[in-house]
Amino acid sequence: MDDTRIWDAVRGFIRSTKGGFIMGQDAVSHGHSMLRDFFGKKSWFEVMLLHALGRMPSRELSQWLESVYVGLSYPDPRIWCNAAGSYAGTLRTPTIAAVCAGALVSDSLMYGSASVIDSILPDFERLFAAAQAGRPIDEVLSEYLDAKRRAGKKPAVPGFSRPLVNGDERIEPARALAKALGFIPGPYETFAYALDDACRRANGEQMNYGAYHQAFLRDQGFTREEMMRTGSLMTSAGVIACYVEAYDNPPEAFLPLRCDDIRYEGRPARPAPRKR
Amino acid sequence: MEKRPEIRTEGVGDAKTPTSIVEEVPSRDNPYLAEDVRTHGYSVRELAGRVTFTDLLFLTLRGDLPTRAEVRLFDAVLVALSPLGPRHPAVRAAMYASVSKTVHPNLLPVGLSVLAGAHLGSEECYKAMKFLRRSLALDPAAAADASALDADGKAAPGFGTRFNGRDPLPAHFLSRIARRKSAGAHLRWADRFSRRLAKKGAGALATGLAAAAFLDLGFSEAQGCGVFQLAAAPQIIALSSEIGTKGLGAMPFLPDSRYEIVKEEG
Repeated sequence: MDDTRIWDAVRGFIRSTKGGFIMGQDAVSHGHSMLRDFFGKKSWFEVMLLHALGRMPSRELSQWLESVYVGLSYPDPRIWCNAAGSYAGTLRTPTIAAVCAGALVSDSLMYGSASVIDSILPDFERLFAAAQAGRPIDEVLSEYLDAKRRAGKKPAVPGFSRPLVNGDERIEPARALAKALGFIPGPYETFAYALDDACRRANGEQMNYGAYHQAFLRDQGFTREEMMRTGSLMTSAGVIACYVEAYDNPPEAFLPLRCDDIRYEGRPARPAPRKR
Repeated sequence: MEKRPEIRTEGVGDAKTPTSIVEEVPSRDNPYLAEDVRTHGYSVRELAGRVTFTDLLFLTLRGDLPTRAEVRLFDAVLVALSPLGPRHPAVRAAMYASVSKTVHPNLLPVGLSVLAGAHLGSEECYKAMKFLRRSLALDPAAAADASALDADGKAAPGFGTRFNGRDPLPAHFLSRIARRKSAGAHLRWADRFSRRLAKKGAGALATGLAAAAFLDLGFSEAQGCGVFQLAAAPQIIALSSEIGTKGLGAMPFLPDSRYEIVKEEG
């Protein structure tokens, strides 16, 4: 027989370290009464961070992160996650399905949470380690870019280029807010600025917000999982705006296409087989 | 003293989840693993390789394997519903996500979530099934004449216009399928309703075709919602995975010259 004691112990039983509902009375979250300790005293955002991290962040960190979400909430349906909201609105899809669709799209290897975790972090940490070991950053970067060229890949550091425009207008407001809230750049953020300077010299590319964001959070002790968990809803406000606008317009009026707007490149028309 | 709310306890506790659809036979070595799964009594070990996926889908939803006529009707409808095309907003959402390198497992759920709505989506299919079910006793031609197109071009859920015109493919398939011997009352009613709506430049939409067929196949509204989405899945998968290999330039960001921010007054 297989050893199934782990599952047997929780069969028909929930053991939660997060908390739960005390029916008809209250809810407990991480040892606190939600109705007495949080209701009217903590923001929804702070409680969301508590639930994602398992610890209540400082008010300053919560405020910074929530402000960052503002910078990720542009109501422009050309942005890919927002477009999902617009397409949903144009089909009269319910709001929650639209927001979920937008959140799913935002898990992107190019610009979203997945890009930070899977693309930016690994290479950033390698370059950081090399620089921490005392190697000149321009030398480390040059080797890195050469290796990418030899592999036939774009010679750029993930997080230090942007798909649409060079530079990122969100970094400066985020830095200014961090300073106003009393944050001092730690080793990761400091390295990110040094790498940004090196990239500008080497290939003209600049840091994007994702690279800055992960460096700042690494200095606050965030793990990869925590970055992902706290970022799961970050584009939702932009998605909702785009959804509402498309919903309030005629159906299929969001970027409608005619048949001849598609360039068909496949096989010519052919007869279907008789019944199989 | 504040009165404490009464806590209802019936229905909670150790009740086993009931189902008459699937029975799992536990492995001898591990009660959490199944060594066989029976769907309405049929073992998956016997079904695999002997029945088609459409057969299994029908069995799962209706409780028995389909007759030859039923499977031919079901297949005909699924094939007719499947080609949403690269312009359909649900497909488009998945395609645009794909060029932006959304992680692959999310692409189909993106398309299906966008397809959940009241225009050409599973919500409309659900409502169309309800409409047809309650309209069966009415004369379809009279019902069409009495209907008025609303602001979204709908005469009824599942029936209306698209881009101010009569959508040719669903109307064509509805007529064709309604003429089959295996077609039932809902398909025939829907076809007559759709043909009469042609006077108003309207007709069956994909959701109306689906609704009529699903009712004649004996599906519930809840099942119909899901089957409608299932039918759309192949093109969402194929078109989103294809465009993802072509890079961002295949679906470029609209330039600022084609984007106007309307200034709000006041």
